[in-house]
Formats: sequence, structure tokens, C-alpha cells
Amino acid sequence: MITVEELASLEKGDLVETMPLLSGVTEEPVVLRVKETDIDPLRVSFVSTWHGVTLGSWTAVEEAGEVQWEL
Amino acid sequence: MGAVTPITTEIYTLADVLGFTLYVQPDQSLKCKGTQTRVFGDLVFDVPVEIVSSCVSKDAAAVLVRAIGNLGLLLVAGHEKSSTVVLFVVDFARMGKPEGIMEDKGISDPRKAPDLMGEAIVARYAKGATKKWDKIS
Repeated sequence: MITVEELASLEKGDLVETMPLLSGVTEEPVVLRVKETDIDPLRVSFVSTWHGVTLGSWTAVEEAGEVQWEL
Repeated sequence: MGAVTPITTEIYTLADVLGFTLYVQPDQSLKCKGTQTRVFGDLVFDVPVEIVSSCVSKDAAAVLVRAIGNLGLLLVAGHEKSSTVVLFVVDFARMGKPEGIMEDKGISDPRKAPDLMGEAIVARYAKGATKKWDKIS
């Protein structure tokens, strides 16, 4: 969904649109808003929302050149 | 708990959308089971669904489910196959305790359920005879 390079370019407040949560109903995407970023090691925390409703806090980290998610 | 019977109404739509199985209990309360996994590339997460309140009458039904985080989904439908099904997206952060809200308020008409959610409803979708979901607000 997101590459290491894209992850590294994100700044606090950036929005990332992902996939629809209920694709059978609507194409409205889950949106990730960047809450915090750390460069070394690369770690980006997001608040995930759908229709403005908070789904949770999700974090993407770089591990061995790949993006791993901590939910 | 007695035997459960699969319900035979358009409220199946919620199960279709989320990939869950809905049952009506002998006492007319609704139950569901299942967890559906969403995969967005590397991002994989589960969307568990739990019915937190329900109301069933002779001609309609409403279920309120807690999904993930503050996300609630309220589905209201008539029992007739031709009836319109309405899915309300609910922000639980904007309302009081959702658990048992329909039971506690004592509503007898499932179509009154959205009134209990007030400003917590952030979007509405309807599916009628066309079998296609349309955003209505």
C-alpha cells in the first residue's frame, strides 16, 4: 500500500487515502492522518478514520527495507 | 440460550456487506458472529462486529453494531424483500453509551432507531429495488 520511500516522505498532518472499508457499499476510503514521524529508525504513526470516524491509531515502521504495520 | 434461527429478511444485507452471519434469537434479539479481515497491501487488520443493540417488530428490524474503533453501523430494514434498506454510519464518540440503547429507550418501531443516534450519524446509504447502494446524505 505504501513504500518505504513514500513513508519516509510523510510529514505530520499529511493525509493518505487507502482503500474502501465497505467496498460493497461505497468507495469512501479509509484515511490515514500522520500523527508523528521518526526518521531513525523510520516510524510513522497515523490516526485512521473512515467518514471522519476514528478507527484507531496505526503505526508503520521500516524493517529490513519493508513496511510493517503495528495496529 | 435456545436454538437460533437464521433470519429471513433484507437485514441480511448487513451480513452480506460485512461478511457476517446474523441470527435472531428466540427472544427476538439479534446476534451475529464473525470477523472479517481487510487487506490494504501490507496493511492487514480485522474488523470484528458485535451487535450492541437491536429492535425487531412485526414488519421491520434494526441492528446497531460496533465495528472497529468508534465506528458503529446502524441498519434498518423492513421485512419485505422489496423494502429499502438503510445503513447509517455512526460515530460512537458523538453519543452516549450505544450498548442497549434501543432496549433502554424502549422503542417498539425499528424505524425510530436513527432518532436515538442524533448527530452521531455521519452518513446514510440506502439500497432499494435496484440492489445498488446510494449515498443519501
